[in-house]
Amino acid sequence: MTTAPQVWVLLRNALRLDFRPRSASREGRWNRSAPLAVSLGLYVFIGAFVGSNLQRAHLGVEPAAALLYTVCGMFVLVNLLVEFSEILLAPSDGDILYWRPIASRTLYIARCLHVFVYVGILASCTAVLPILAICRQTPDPVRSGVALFAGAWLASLLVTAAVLAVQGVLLRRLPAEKFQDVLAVAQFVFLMAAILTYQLLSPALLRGAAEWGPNGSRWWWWVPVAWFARLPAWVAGDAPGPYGVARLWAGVGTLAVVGGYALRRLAPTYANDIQRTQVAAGPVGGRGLARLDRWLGARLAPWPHCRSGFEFFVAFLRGDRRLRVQLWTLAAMPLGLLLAALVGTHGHDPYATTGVAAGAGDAMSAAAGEWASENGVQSLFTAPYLLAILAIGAARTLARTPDWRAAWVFHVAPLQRYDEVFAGVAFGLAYQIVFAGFVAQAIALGVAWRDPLHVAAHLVPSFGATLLLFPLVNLFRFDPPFTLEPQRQMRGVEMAIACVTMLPIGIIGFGHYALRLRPWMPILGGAALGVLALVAWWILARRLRNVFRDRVFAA
Amino acid sequence: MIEAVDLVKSYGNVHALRGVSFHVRPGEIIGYLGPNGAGKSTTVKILTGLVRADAGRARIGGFDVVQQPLEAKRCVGFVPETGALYEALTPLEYLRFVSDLYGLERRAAAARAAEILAFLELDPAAWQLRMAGFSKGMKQRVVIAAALLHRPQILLFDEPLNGLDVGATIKVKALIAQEAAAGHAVLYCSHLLDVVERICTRIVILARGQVQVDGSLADIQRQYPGRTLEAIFQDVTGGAAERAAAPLSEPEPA
Repeated sequence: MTTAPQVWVLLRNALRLDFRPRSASREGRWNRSAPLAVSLGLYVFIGAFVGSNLQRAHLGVEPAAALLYTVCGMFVLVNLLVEFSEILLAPSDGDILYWRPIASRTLYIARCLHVFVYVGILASCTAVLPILAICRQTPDPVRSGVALFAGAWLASLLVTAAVLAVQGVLLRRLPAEKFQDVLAVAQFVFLMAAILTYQLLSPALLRGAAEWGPNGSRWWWWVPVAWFARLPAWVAGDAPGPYGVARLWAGVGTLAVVGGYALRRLAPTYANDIQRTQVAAGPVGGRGLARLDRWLGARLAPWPHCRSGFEFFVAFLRGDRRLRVQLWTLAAMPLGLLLAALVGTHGHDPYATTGVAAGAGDAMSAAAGEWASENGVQSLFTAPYLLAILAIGAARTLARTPDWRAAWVFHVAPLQRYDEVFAGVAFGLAYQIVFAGFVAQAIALGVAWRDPLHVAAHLVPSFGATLLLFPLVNLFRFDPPFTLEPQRQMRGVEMAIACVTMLPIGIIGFGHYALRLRPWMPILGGAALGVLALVAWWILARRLRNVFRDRVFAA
Repeated sequence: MIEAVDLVKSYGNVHALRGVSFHVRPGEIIGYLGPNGAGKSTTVKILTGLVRADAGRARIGGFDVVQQPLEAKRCVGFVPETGALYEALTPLEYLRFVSDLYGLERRAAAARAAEILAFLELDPAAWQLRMAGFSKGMKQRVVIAAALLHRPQILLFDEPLNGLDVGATIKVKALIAQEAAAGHAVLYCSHLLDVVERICTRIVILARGQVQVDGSLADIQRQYPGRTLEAIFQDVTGGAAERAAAPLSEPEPA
């Protein structure tokens, strides 16, 4: 059998499996595709926001497309790192496929196409409304629209090809036992760096788009996805700007080089490399770390059920790369945002009455000053609340695991107080992810502001909001950790839940910002939220006590 | 048809195979025995291309599993120990997927799938149901059907009777004998010594990553007069009987 039919067979089967429940429950097809539908709806909504901004800005086709492709590229990048990389790097069907006569290149192409399908859908949803907004300003909207979509797909393809190629190189070069651990760290660092770069480049890029020309477009050389913006501009009949055509060719050339490298160098050894990583299992964590976890477990979670929940979570997190990547992202994105805000504002402290940190005022450029007053302060305040929003939705991330069938143990064990087990898991989550995220932000703010009171004033309200809203959100729909089968695009559902929590978070954040010049007030407010949280946790604990009594094991 | 020569494989500091050699000729059924961790599954994984040996070579149907992997894999039908399959699919969908991977003609493949499923006594009402709701035995029938679909010349069975009921066990044993009679080579890994005794033409016992015994049951019993296969197995694998005899500790009195 030749390669092409096998690629098609593998791709069709993979997509079919994505929309079929594996459990024997009565979960229907709609339930399976609902997360994707929610995600796509969310991206259309985000696209609407981008489109309305583009329409108001009255930009030319090329700068508007450049902005749009950058936004699409960021969404694709985040999704690839958090959601889709496991298609290529952590497939669970080795025992079914690897002994069949399927060439490594065929398997690699099929899996890359599987990723491309989702990336294409995601990019299309994000881009559809902005493209409609841009097209309306061109003489031939249909042709321009097609070219704009083509550019968006090419840009997304470039991001995908680059990420897959980097992951492929890691897969090939790293020792198999260390691969999963290094990959988790690499994805964390890469995501944070991408957000940091995006935030830092934003002011220059926005100014560049507004003053598109020899000087304005200079910064856009640093954004490879924007190189494809020349394509719709060319179709719309816009005169090429300086190096416009060169940028387009640079984009096409980069895509060809990355794609060629992946197919010629990575694809032939892919099957062997991925099998190597799946067979090898390195030791988990260090002995010192395990001792620290046990010591903390004994203090944070003294009751037996609570402690077993804590240790179960910590052990699970250490052994499960997929979970680590998903949870570390909670800390990575807000930290990247905060670092970008601190660097971009030159350490601007919004709690100081002078407005700007000592010594930084003279040196601050006009652009940075402008950004500090607008986006910078916004980002400073957004970062801890973003961590709060993501942490609140973390219980849903914990619910799904490839080892969900092992959840029978919760059903057969004589658990009288499941709420204690969950409290242990929540303590583990708090200690390893949420608290670590806040501590990392505190260190960054402490270095920049050198004022512990201001750092506390900045972080305590969002920490209090996390403590309060986490149990409240779980009151409405609760799935016990590690009990449900994984589902594609659950991240989108989490984002939709995050949107719901944005209203109370927004109110708290607004009050926080209004009280910033009296730093004790936000601290007291945060503490008050913490006291209220005790009541919310008590209510949640009552509800969870017998959560397994009425649940049916669906495997 | 199956040839393993000096296979060596380590996982970190664990030496799974230390120079394993054996062969399986057409029409032979080799019982491949050993305690847990002896290296049976590693051998099978090397033969199927799931794992690459550190040293030595393996040939399947005359093809080197490393140099000519696709040719070697085309000859093989494999029933893995895990019994892995796509449980979201129905048996017919899964078997169609497998037949498509091998490029089999659809109508002939469907007929062959129906023939094997019927032979293994999988209720036709279940052919159109998602396998997630199947019992272990029902899933195992589908795994076996998927291994036989493309009429392989070489069959590798890793605990194929896992979860099967008495009727299906008898059927599968008959099927294995039938395949061997048709000139196909069969490697049969198992812990069930009585089954191996009954259906295998030769027995290879592996322990600590090395072949300890290789011969027909009669040859082996000549080497160990008056001993049963179970006793011989315990002798050559070392200490299993003593370990088995050690009782669990008694619970503390309340």
